[in-house]
Amino acid sequence: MKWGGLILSVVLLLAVVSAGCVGNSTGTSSKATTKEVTVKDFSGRNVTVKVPVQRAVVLSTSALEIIQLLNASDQVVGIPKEAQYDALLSESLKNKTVVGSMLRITDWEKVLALKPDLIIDLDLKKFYNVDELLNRSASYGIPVVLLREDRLEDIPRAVSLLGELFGREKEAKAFDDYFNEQVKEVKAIASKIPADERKKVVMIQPIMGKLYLVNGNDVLAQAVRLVGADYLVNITFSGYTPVRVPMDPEKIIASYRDADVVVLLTSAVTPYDQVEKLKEEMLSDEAWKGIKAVREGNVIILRADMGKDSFLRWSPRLAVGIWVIGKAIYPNYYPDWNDKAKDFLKRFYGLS
Amino acid sequence: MLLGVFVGSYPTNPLHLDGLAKAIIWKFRLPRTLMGVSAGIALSLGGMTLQAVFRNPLVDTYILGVASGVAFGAALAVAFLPFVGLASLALLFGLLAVFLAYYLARVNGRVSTVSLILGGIIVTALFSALLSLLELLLPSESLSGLVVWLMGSLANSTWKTVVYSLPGVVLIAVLLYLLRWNLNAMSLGDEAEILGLNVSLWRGIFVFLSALLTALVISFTGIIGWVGLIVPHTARMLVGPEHSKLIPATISIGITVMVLADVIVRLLPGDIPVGIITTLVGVPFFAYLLRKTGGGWS
Repeated sequence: MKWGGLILSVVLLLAVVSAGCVGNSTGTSSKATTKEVTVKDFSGRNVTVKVPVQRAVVLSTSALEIIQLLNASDQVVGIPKEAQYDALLSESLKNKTVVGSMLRITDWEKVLALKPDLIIDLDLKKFYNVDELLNRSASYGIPVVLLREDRLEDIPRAVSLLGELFGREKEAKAFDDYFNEQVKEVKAIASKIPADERKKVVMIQPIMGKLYLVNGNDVLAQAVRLVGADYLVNITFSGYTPVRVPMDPEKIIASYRDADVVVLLTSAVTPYDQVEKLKEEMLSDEAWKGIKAVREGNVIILRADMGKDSFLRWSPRLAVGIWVIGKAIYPNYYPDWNDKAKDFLKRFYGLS
Repeated sequence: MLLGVFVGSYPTNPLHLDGLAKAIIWKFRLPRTLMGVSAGIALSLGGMTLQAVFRNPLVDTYILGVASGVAFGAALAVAFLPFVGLASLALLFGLLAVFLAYYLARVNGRVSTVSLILGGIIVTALFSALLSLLELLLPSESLSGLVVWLMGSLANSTWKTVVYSLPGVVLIAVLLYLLRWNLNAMSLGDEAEILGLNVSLWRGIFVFLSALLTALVISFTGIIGWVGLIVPHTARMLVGPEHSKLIPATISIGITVMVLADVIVRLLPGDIPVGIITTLVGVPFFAYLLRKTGGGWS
């Protein structure tokens, strides 16, 4: 009996030691010890999370772009379907388990099998049932951190928050300093633009033959204002302000006749050549020439898709995006942004 | 028609048209109005024809599965075959769906109303499942784009879509008028055979023409619902069931309804799909019709 007890103790001791070894061998590159922190997410909720997060399910591609920038891809286990189309994301990140799409979890079984220690999503109540996600996650004991893609200043805020959660504060600070520096430089140029040279801008994104106006509450409209221009579109339906408003061409012409610059945007489903066709059609058409910008040939195509060279999406990409918009609207005031783009892609994403 | 040409966001005085007004009318309003004419004729005549053939006022071309076929074709074009073109694939699959529904419904050489409805349900279910599968593969932006497209709108009409749609629709409308005697006979039910009509053959021909009418419009505009129900019934209440009067009445009411619905849309903010307006009007009308007729033919 004594011998039996001794053998059992040795076996148990070995099991504990080996479990510790296995835990270390499958751990991530983060060497920080685990601790509990309470953070305030973008919806104002206090969320307690064990940091650094080791097994995150991330349902937003922009959050994934931030996580890759933080060098924390190994700490992600679940991704949305849309991640496949994002050219900034590494193949290893794209190969993680797909658990949902369009901010929704489509397969909870997969999520539970992944044993996540955090779910990251967007606080977009108009787009999906946020409360259901929160309640369900709470019932499984998985904390949820919600981000928002509303404003430019939310980008460094989100990077800081995710930096803290993933134990990558140093990387987060490096990006935030870089981002804030870009904003500061752009503001300095914008302040030099005389009032009588301020341009009025409208942004249009064609999707499946329909024209969608970028509304004034979109981060791209904020970027237009940042570079020293006025953004003309500001549409509200009974208190609700969508970020994109479908509008027929006649209404666009009738409403924005005095626009100095029309920016046409690509999208995940609208390739550059399709937008170029629209531009050619506008420039050669008498009705579209009802808009001052079209009459004067100030119709510019900018990329807002998920490609590598597209910088007009709410994500770290906008550090370059604000320069892209500045150069497009005020070519005489803003420098060429190609070097900035190369530097950004190489420094933060390791891409050439 | 005049409302369609002169009402819109840009103020246009018919007596004093400036250069921009002329350009807007030519570029946007005229194609849009003509597409409304095409949709009004096609959807209402399609409904009227099937209602006569199956002797049921609640029948519409959409029971044949044409809408689900068109939706699947459009999604397929967006997801995998953008070079083929959305409208052509939508048209192809719209007609394929009707052919399938008709083939399934044909038992022992005969097609009854019930079997055709069941065939339509099967085909609709099949294409809806395939559409859901494609939706899983689409990125979110194209998915929301597809949803908006499917709601049906005349805002994207161009001279090109008018040229592809209107002549075919007018041709079939003329053909239906020439075949009005056959339609009258078909609406008598089995007595049509006593009058010497090959009921099976003509049923097939009329089903095909109705489907073609619908597909020629919704492949370009997206799904515009309920016009095929409300217009023929209103026309029947006004001029009676005799097709020499019913066809012209259906055409004029169909055009009026579609163009008016589009004018309403133009005056609303944003770009609200016209299919929403026709559905909002059509649903209570359909409920009234169901309560009044009990779903039968009088």
